[in-house]
Amino acid sequence: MNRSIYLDSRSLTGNKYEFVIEENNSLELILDETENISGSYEFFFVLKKNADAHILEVNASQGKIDKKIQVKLEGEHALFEYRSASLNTASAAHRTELRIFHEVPNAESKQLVRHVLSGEAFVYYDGTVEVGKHCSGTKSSQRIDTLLLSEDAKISVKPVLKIYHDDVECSHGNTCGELDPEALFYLESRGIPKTESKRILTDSFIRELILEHPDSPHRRTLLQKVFP
Amino acid sequence: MLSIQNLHAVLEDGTPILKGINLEVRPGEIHAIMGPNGSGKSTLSKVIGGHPSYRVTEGSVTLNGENLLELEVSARANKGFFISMQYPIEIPGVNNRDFLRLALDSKYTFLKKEKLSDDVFNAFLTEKMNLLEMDSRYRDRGLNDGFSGGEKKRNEILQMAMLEPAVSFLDETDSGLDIDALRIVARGINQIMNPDRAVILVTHYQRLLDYVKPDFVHVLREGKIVMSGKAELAHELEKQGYDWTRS
Repeated sequence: MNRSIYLDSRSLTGNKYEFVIEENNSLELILDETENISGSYEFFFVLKKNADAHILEVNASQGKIDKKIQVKLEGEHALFEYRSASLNTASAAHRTELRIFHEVPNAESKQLVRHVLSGEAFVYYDGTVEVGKHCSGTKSSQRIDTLLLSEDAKISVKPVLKIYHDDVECSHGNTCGELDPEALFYLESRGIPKTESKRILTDSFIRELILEHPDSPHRRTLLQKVFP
Repeated sequence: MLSIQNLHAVLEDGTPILKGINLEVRPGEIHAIMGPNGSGKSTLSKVIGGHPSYRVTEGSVTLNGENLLELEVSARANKGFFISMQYPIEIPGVNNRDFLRLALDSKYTFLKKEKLSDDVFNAFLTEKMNLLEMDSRYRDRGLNDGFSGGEKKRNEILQMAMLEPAVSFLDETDSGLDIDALRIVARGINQIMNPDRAVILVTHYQRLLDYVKPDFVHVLREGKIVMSGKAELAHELEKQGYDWTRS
């Protein structure tokens, strides 16, 4: 059975959600955090055999947000995908704590996280993946890329891999920087003014992440909301 | 039209790259610039275009009497200076058609002209893509995203054809092109040429010049134009190599 759920900012804050994705079931969860609110929330996911979960989150809130996400991969060939994009300015302060536990062999988890930070925005991202002793054939990837567009914006990233088995494919990468000056020059050299060129590059950075999420009506709704 | 006088430019750390370039390009002319690797050919295009990695220390560049060096990068482009990049950038999240639309709209806004309607723009794009024998799927792909080297170069010429610049500086547009693509790209260059426009071609090989006939050929070496001549100079260079220009 396939389920697709769209949660907006108002239904997220102050709540705790638990999802158990049964054998051969699939969940798409869209987290639309484009409204400017503060609060905390928690997610707990359990994935059984051949289950998959695809989470897509876009955060543009300028408030203070604290979220905790815990994932247990309990069935073989389960797949958990988490794609999160943040566009934060002013004094936004966001803290994410993601814990993924691989408890069986041959399960897969992916994290793709992108931030565009300006003003005095601050983001803390702690993504921990733990692969148990008997979890051969595990695949796990974690990629966190950040664009810092102002001197006062800050990012703190803590990628952690705890691996207790040799036969696994686990990777993590973390980049942080400004807009690519060559890409900026390229756009400007086509007559597009600097401010507009910067906007195009930051939008494309976020749009690319959204488009990596499997196509669905809810994805299209979110894309339309972020890029009207 | 484009007048480069005693142009000197350095890298951010002060390393001199251009050491006194003089070049006059008149409407309707095609100039080829050849020269060994590292002689400053790509730098010349970027300095004129306003790349932030270079600083002009002396000299001037004017386009139709206006000093380009005082203008923002986008203004230089909108005044009519176009660079076909040697290594076009990939921007995956930007649709190729939307990008072209934005570039053209920016130019029309800059020139205080009315923007094209969607219908007129789409017809214009189709005409230019047909000229370059580009499949319609290139419209909706990300800008240069996953394009082969040859596809990127063809996409550069598509941008040039759409923007209709006064002066186009084509930096090694022929590299990465197979024989058929070279012929198609050359046809695109020849089609956009008219008595009001000019082209500067940077190339290492005679083969592009078989299709796009230059009026003048210049040899750039160590940041200076050390030799200029007619189209025959390119043949001579291919036969004798660049060391010959030292003598």
